[in-house]
Amino acid sequence: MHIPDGILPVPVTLGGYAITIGAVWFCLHKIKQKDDPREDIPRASLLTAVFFVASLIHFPVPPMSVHLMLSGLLGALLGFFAIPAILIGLFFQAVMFGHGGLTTLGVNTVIIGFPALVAHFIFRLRNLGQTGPGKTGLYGFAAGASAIGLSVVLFAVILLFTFPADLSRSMEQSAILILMAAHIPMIIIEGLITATAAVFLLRVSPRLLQGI
Amino acid sequence: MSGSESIQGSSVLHRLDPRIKLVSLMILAFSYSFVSTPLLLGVMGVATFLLWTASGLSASFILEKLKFPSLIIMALVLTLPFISGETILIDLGVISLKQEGLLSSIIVGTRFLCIITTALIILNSSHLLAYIKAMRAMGLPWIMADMALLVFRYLKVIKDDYTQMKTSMKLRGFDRHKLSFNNLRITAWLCGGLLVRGFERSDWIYRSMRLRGYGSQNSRDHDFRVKGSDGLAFGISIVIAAMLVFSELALRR
Repeated sequence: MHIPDGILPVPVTLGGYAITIGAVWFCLHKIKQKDDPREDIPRASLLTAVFFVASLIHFPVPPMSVHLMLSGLLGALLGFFAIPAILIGLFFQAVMFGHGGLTTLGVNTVIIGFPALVAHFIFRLRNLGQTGPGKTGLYGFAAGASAIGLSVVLFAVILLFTFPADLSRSMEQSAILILMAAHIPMIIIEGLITATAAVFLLRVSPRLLQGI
Repeated sequence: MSGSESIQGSSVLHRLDPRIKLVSLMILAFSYSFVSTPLLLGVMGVATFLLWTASGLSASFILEKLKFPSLIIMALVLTLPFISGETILIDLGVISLKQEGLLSSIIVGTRFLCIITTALIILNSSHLLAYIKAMRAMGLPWIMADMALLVFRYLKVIKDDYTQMKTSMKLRGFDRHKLSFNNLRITAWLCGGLLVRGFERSDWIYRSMRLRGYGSQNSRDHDFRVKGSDGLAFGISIVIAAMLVFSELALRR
């Protein structure tokens, strides 16, 4: 779900950077309000590195294979660190593997980062009332699936409504529907993996689930 | 990005200040993405070729990095000539090749190739750490810079953990080519295991960083020095970018 360089018009890519800079500024402002913001940096960085490595895991979804994103789990665990973490991860992916792009770094951060932050707030609802494995799994699924679902919607909207080629209205609608339908298996897979990983963490290291 | 051929080179490009290279790269990338006139696409291609010549990098190195072009780009370049536009160039019965779609396909494909090649050449002419330090020197917030440095430092460690765990899973009969609930569960446990390891490791990393004085010195200090060649390279980038943008605006009229 990375938009590469060369597709989007300059105002859109610049707009993506403007929104990302604003979002990163807001997140850093929130992080700096903590007693010792430096204490959380190694933790957020190592978890970011784990998510980066986890994105190398591929799943066969015939006729192709998809890689994990885990942006919902990342949002649930990292909270306000999620958007800076995603920006760093996308920069490394663009530089190391040529995935995504440099001009589209801002837009791609919006596509993946904002849904991750939404997932953080969805997962935090788990703390209302008593928490157990069932509830953790349920909110984990909601966080994981909604993060990918929202990313797909943002991706489709940005790509199709700012695309510089002439496409008819019916063609645009069909493309959006096909794109969404193609991602349904991925939404379910991400939801299930996030739910199972959240329950695993609840049993093995519940401190991690309290977020950073 | 850390290909040994790239970083050990001795071309003019390798000796430039990483800050100048980063800023020039972004200026060039944005000006390239503004171009949509066929004539200027050619100019962009020539500029990219000249940059490659100046870098001293081998063609095989660049081609190796370009081996896996984006799926989206591939899909767009292959489908646009048939789905976009109205002027039919070749009627193939069920589908027809259209002029507007073909032009869009060429524009998108050329822009992508020029931007990614320019980025590959420039980013592979210094170590990634030098670029992170350059960004910090240019005002990147310390939280972002520290996170980027730590992520880069521990990527290999965590990748090794992952490889080790994957090998153990394989030895126990895990077949990753099969899509099943059991496989999803095992993969989730693998991710969970990596997260727990990373989380526990981060505690002692923070303590050792503190012992070494983390947070007590200004991380914006740097030893970058702008030389005459840096100014010249920056000037050339600005001229190319400005020429492309103004020519594009003039040609659109």
